[in-house]
Amino acid sequence: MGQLGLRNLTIRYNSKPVIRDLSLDINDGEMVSLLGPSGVGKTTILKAIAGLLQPDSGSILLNGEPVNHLPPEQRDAVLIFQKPLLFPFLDVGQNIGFGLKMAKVKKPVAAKQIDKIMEITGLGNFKHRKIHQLSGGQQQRVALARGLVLEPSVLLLDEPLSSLDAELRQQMRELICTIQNQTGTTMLFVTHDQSEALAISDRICVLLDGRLRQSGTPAEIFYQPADADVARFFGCTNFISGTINNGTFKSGAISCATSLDDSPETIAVIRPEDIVLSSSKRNNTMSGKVVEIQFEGATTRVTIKAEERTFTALTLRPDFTKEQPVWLHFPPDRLHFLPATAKP
Amino acid sequence: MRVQKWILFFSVLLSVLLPFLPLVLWSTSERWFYPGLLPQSFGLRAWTYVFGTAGDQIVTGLSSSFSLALVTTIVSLILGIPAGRALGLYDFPGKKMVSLLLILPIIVPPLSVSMGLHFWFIQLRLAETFVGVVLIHLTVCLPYTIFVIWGVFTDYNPDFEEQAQSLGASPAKIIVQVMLPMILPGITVAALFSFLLSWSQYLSTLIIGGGKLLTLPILLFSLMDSGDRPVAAAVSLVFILPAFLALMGSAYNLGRSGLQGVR
Repeated sequence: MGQLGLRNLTIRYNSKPVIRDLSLDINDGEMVSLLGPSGVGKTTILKAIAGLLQPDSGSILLNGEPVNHLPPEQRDAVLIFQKPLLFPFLDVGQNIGFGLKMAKVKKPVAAKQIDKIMEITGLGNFKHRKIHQLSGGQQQRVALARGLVLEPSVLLLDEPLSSLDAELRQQMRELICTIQNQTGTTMLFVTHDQSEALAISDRICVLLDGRLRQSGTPAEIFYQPADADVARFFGCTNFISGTINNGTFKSGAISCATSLDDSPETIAVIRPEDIVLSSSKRNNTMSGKVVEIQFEGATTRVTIKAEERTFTALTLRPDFTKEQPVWLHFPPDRLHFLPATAKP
Repeated sequence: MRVQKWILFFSVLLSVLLPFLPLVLWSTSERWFYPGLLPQSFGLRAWTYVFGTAGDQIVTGLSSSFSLALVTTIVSLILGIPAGRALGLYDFPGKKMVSLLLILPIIVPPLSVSMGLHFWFIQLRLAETFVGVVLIHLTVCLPYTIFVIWGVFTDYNPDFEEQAQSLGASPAKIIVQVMLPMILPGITVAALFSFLLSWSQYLSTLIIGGGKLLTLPILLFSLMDSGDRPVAAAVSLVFILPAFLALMGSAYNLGRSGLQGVR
């Protein structure tokens, strides 16, 4: 069992609200990421859930029970910090067993649990190693194991991969997913890395300006952003404003059927990789000029000026030159309309 | 490289041990008059005096010096660790004032501190008591302890404690199982300072103790006064030995736990 509920959580820092009116539910066995830019207060939320700081208002529920009054050591939520924070005076096994020792688990039982979790996290032979003999990735794995061994209702992870290099991060990401599948531990994972959140989570909660902007599956967040800020946060800067009349969205030469209600002002977004660049005119096209080309390896980022607007397109073919006239084609099924209230 | 290492080793050894040579010579001399470079005759008169005739006195002196230094060290650690932590980790109004007040007993000559406090101690019935002498030793030891621990805590990451707390450690357990092991090297240094400072106190012990508490330094001075140089040298060596052992012990402890892997 591991359910977490946040109800109207507000946290102030120096009397300035960092988190405003945050409500969130995480179901048993779910892997949820809390995604937002640095300094948005993600760590603050985790600390509040773990009990390391008191929210100014709102309640925190663990398995349906309010835990606001409980000190951190009595909460069934374990926080794993960004840095491994392994105790240098203990060896690997003792570090992993620290929480069990605090909970007064009998030694033989604890030893079994430690061995099991070391097996799962791939630390099999490191039990008696000193902390300074481990690499960064191994240290982070020990930190993870130290939290997991307690089998908490919720495991809170505060950007545990941000200090690792790219390759190691990828391995750890997979490891966390595997562990999550094996143990079914409910996890709340904080990150500022979009791709990490998309790859790892069952559900993503996007946190911007101290508010929860959108919560949904990675695909929903990615393809159907709730507002322009969320879209921008995921690298989508292509906004087309137009009108909806009789179930048709119109903006210049672009028209597309929609089930949305009529509206004099609607904004459509399209992902850079969904814009099709072509040399001839088609349906739903706009003429433009290439302004900038950035070769990024697998794809090339092309910035195009069309009808006073700037569009970014990702293309697989890097055969463009500056000032080259191109046609931008917007496939109707790839356009996503922002709700009327959300303006860019 | 090898030769350089040996030269370094011997020069350190020499500079540490050489000052003891005159003491050893004096303590084993029977007759040593000007202009003899070495004593004219050797003998163990001083040592038989120290361990025989004055044996009881020396043992009393040793035990009272030791218990004073031990109690002073423990009390200064109990007070110094929280104070050093507060100064090292937190900013609070009046922090500069506090640090100035802490330095004061070190700057002001111990004679004035002891004389001034003696008056109060008499009124509080602390003069000529063990507790009184511990208190006067603390005026010297506590500032040093606080300064050492202060330094340790400026380099201390309190996140370790939050991590421990989230793993289920109660505040008391955090202190014993996380904080103390983390700062152990600092505690060792502070304890050594405190112990040695208290061990070598003469003036303050004499003033506050009023001669009732016969510590080793007081015995040593009275023996030196009597003009019996060989005996004074022998007592000096006895006086140095425990301090030397404490130093070696803490050096061993520091070398073992070290600071490696803290980060």
